[in-house]
Amino acid sequence: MPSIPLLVVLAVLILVPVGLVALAAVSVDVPRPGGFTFDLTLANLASVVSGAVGSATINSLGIATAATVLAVAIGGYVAFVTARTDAPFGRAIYACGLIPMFLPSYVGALAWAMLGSPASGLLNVAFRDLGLGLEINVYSRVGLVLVCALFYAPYAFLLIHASMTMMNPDLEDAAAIHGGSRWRMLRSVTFPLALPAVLGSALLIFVLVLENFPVAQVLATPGNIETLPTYIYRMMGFFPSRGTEAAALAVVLVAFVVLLTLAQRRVLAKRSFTTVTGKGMRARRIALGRFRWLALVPVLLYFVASIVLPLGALLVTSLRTSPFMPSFSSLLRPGALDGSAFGTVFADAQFWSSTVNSVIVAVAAALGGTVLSFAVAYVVYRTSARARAQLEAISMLPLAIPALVLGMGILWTWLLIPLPLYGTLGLLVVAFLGVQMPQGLRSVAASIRSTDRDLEDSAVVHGRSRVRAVLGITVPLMKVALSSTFLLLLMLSMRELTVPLLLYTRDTTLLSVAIFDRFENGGGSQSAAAISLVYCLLMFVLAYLPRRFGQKANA
Amino acid sequence: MRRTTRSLLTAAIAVAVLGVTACGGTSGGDGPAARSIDTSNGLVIDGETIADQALWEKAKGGNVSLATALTEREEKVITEQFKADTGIALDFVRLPTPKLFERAVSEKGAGKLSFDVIRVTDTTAAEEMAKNGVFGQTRTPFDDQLRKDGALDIGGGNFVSAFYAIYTFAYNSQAIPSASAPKTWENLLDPSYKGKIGLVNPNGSGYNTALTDMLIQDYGDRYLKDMQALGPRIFDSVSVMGTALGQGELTVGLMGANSALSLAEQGAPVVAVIPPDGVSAGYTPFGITIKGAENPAAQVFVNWQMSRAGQSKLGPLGLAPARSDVEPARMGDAVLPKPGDPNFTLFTTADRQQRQAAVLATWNGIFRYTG
Repeated sequence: MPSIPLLVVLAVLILVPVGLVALAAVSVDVPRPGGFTFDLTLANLASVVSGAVGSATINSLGIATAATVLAVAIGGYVAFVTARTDAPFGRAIYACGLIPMFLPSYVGALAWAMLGSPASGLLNVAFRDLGLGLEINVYSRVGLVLVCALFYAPYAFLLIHASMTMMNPDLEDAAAIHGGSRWRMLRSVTFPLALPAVLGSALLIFVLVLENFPVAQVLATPGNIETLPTYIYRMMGFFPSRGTEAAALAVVLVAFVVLLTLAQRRVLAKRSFTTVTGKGMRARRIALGRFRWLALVPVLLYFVASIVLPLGALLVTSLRTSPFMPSFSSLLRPGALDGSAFGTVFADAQFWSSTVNSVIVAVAAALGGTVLSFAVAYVVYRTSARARAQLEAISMLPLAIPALVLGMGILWTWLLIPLPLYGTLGLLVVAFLGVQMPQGLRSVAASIRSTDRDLEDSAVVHGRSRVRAVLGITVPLMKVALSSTFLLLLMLSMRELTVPLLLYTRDTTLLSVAIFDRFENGGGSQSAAAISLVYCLLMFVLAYLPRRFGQKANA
Repeated sequence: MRRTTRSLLTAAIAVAVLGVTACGGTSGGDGPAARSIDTSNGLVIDGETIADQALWEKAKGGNVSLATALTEREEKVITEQFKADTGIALDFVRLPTPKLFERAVSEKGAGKLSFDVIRVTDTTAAEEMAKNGVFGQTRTPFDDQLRKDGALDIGGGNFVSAFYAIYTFAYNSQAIPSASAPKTWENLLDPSYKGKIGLVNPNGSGYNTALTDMLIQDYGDRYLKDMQALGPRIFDSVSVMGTALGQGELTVGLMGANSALSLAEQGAPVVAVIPPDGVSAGYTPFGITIKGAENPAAQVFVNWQMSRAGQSKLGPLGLAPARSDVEPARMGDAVLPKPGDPNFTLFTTADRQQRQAAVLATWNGIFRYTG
């Protein structure tokens, strides 16, 4: 009965906070500790159908759909080029697909605001300097879609790349032997086999964009574009807050995402996607011929838009002594540039303690999250436990609930539970375990469905215990996917901002919170840009080290 | 009545446009100031007793946990001075008032309140926290002076006003030459500012509610309607709006004098204007919690904040001290309006009780921002 302990863990991490949010949705008063009245009402749900929610919903659905399509196209393309073609610089292409994940979407949005705000954006200043007569405006729907797609594409890249790397070439060989053209083989064998990863990443990206508050706040609000997250923020973010109405809206979102998840299961249940058999194999690489170099152009453009330009904007801003820059030539004036902001950041004791806290929490949450995600995915996809559907549904719940609302549920939960976790880094770790469970599960699920269970079953038949068979055979077979999951959760934990904002103390401040504070104290300031650059560098190092050590271990 | 006084004042004083030159230093923040400190019989700073012997003996070496809605920059300047003066450790958590409210009330409900002292920017939120039992009794040795100055007009003994935030407007001096800069509130309705003016949503912000009330009282609802016709950009935080103003995204923004001062000190070409027709002022609720009531160090911090030593750190930040016996708020060489001045329009407790709901309803109806 492996599902019972997992159910208990998920109940504490997810169900109780979500239950409190659900209670809030039908309560007259916010059900915070000490404030339970159990006066119930349906008026909160009625408020969800107001006109303002309608326009916010339409905007959010449109933006999320377009950003998802674009992000999956970008991530899928880069994954395909690096995993399945003979395009040159494979490792560099892999890095181009992954590195944008080190730039949190919040920081990315701020950087793009520095680049593309209509009057003072650096790109617009450059266009004016060059007399081009062009103007871009990121405070628009198109701007939001592009920025979200740029910074969520790595999720699609990671999942699709893992799937394509593990793909058994037998089916493609069969297609080729039977006379199928290369395009037909790709269309009828390769791409359909990647469907779980494509749909998994699409669902993940769609919901993450749908509920992404920081990017919407930075780019949509200045453009007077109402979105669901900004609408919920205003419900929650002003006094007196309308927490019960926000909770009601969250419940509606949950229902919507559950429907999407069910639709995804229905599509994937129709056929088998098993391609990893444990037998020695290497995915076939397709020769691109004269298009080998041309294939790099879109990757390069993506890298420039997602990394070079945003980091360049942060660097220029961190060095500028005045936030006002009429032209690039003004940077040549004496005193226009200095690097003192970096000195300020490094001399700040709070920066160092926040950095240490962030690393501890991120590593612990990523490790714990990978183990928990694997355990849940194993029970869901490899056993006949009766609670499989419940385990998956509970795991996916946090994805549907805006972090602004879920954060309150977590706060109430851990104030109520008589464990000495409140006010410690441990609280942030368990909060992240719950909040990031959907991403962890989706990441592991895509590969566990692709991994053949014959070898594991054979070991059991030959006398090994199931646990030893899983640890000795299935886990090593899924090593690439599990390390991708660890990396994904590590990055998510480093980036998480909304939930810790409600839970942190001075001793448990995270770097993301410290950056938020700096931007809130003046988004264009030198030190805010400087600390963001250091933050991105740290994320890069954190992501690089496991791969480096992994390679050494494998050598 | 107020308009009459204003007219007289307008005739009496020239329009004060206060340009703050960009400079590297931080007003009030060039490190903690040197004081005359005597701890032989309690804690006495510059001749004023902050803590008697009994309290000081219990508080020495203690630490304080502060929850604040003030900006990190300003809170650092204030608390660093406190730490330098007393040697008492102090950590603060910075949260916007609504989030701070949710956390404090939830923690109190669970019996796990983690803050000794709370400072917020909205009196209604502070009153709700008091109703939920978050605050203890906030008393200081300076209550007589504070009562006389009006700092005890809020809070009913649970909290006091640590200072007043002065709200006015500021412009980008690179985008607008000083000769054509706006000088009065009416000037802001000039069509040339269409799409270039910024304001902050007053829901949940006592300071911005006070400003909105002053504009409605002085010019009527039509002022807000005319402002709306200019297509202003509405922000959720004054700091973010200040950034847009400094970068030139906006040419004019309605904001606190302290924020404009802070931007200028960070090198932004932002100039605050003190219009002859007045500035608005809002209370800053500050009180000891039921947890802090058990912590002598927290009582010393509250005493210190309301002493001349604590109050004197506020003026250089562009914040109006609650006490009248310290230097008023300044920007550069210019003195900002202070409590009691005719052009210092305080949003009093009576104003709030009578008009706050109507003010917010009017704003929400005109700008249709909060859903």
